[in-house]
Amino acid sequence: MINKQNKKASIFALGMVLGVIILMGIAWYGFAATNKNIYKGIKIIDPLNYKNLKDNFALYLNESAKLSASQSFYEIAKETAIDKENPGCNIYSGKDYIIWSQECKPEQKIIEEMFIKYYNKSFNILLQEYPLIDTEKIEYNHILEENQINSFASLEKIKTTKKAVFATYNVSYEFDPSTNLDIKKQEIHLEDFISIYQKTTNQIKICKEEENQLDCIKKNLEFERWIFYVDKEGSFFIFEFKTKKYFFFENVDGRERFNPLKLNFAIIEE
Amino acid sequence: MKLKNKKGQIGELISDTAALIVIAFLLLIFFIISSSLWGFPKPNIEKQAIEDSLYNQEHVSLNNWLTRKVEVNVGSTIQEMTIAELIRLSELDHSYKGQLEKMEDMAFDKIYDTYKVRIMLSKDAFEPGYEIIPIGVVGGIFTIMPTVRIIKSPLFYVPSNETIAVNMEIQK
Repeated sequence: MINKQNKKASIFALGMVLGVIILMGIAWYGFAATNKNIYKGIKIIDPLNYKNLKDNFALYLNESAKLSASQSFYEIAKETAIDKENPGCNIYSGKDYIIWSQECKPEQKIIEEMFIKYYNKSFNILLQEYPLIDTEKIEYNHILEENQINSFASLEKIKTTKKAVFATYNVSYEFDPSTNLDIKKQEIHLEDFISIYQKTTNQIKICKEEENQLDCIKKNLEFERWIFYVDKEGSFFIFEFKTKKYFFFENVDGRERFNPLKLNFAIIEE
Repeated sequence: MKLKNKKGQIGELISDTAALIVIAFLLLIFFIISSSLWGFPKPNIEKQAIEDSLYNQEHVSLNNWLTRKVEVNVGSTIQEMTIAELIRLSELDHSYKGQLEKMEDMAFDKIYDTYKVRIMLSKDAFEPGYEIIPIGVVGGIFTIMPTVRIIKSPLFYVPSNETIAVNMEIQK
C-alpha cells in the first residue's frame, strides 16, 4: 500500500515537472514568435518611415535652395553687383548709389562668387531650422555650373532604436542629402547685371547728341525681366531698376518680404 | 491508521491543488497587467502596420500637393509658384490666404472630404504628452515623464523666417 502511495506521489511530481516544462516551452515559443513578428514589423514599417523622412527633407531642401537663391539674388542687386573692396568704385552722394564705370562694373566672376557666398550663408541658416534631422553635421559644398547650383554633401546616417519584448533592434540607414537647383527656372539670371551695364552705357552714348537725352534712353532701352526709371542729376544718370517678378527675401532689418528686387546705380556722362 | 493516512493524503492533495490554482491565478493576473501596460504585441503590430499604410498614403498626397505648381495673382501679374511657396506667402501676407484656401479646396474637398490641411509654426507642431518609464529591473517601479510628442499625421516643413509646419489631418 505504501509503495502504491509513493508511486502515485511520484507520478504527480513527474506530472508537475512535465507541466512546468510544457508551460515554459509554450512561453518561450510565444516570446520567440512575438519577437520574430516584431522584427518583421520593423522591417516592413521602418523603410516606409525612412522614405517619408527622405521626402520630407527633400521638400525642405528644395524650398530652402529656392529661398537661398532669391536671397542671394537680392543681396547682389543690393550691392549693385560689384566688389565692395574695389578701390575704383565711387558713390554718387546725392542718392547714395554706386557709380558704374569702366573701373567699377559688374563682372561675371565676381557676381558668381557673391552668389555662392550669399547662397551658402542663407542655405545654412535655413538648414539649421529643420527639426527632424541633426543638420549641423551636414556640410554642403555649393558649386555654380551654368544654370545649376549643385549642393553636394556626404552621405547622412540615420540610426533608430526599436524596443521589442526582451529585445532591442538598432536600425540604421544612409541617404544622400545633396540637392540642386536650376536658377534660371526661378528667373534668376545673373548675366542680367552685365547686360544692364552694357545696354545703359551704350544707350547713353547713342543718345548723347539727342536734344532730350532722357526720352531717347527711355524709348530705346528695354529689358525682358526688368522695368526701369531714369533721371538726370547734373552730369549723372540715375537708374532705378526693379524686377518684373516678385521674389522672397529677407531685408536689412531681418523682415521677410515678397517684392520685386531693386537695382539702383548711377552712370556719369562722359 | 490507514484511514488517518488517507485523510492526510486528501488534505495534501487539496492544499497542492489550491496552491496550483493560486499560482495559475497569479500568473494570469501578471499576464493581464503586463499586457495592458505594454500592450498585446501581435495585434499592436497589425494595428501599426495599418496606421503606417494609411500614414504613407496621406504623406504622398500631402507631398504631391505641396510640390504642385500653381498660378498666383501677384499684384497685376500672374506668377507661377509651388503650393509650399504660396503657403509661405500667405503666412507673410494674409491677403493671399483666399487663393491658398481655393487651392486647398480644389485638391482635397472632392476627393478627401474628411481631410483638412493645417498650417502652423514649426514650434507648435508638437503636442505635450507623457511616457511611463519602468525604472525597476523586475518591474513594479514606474515613473511618469513629461515629453513632447510629434503630431501623428503627416507633417512637412516649409522654410521661412520662422519655419512653417504643414499637416494634413482627419477632420473629426
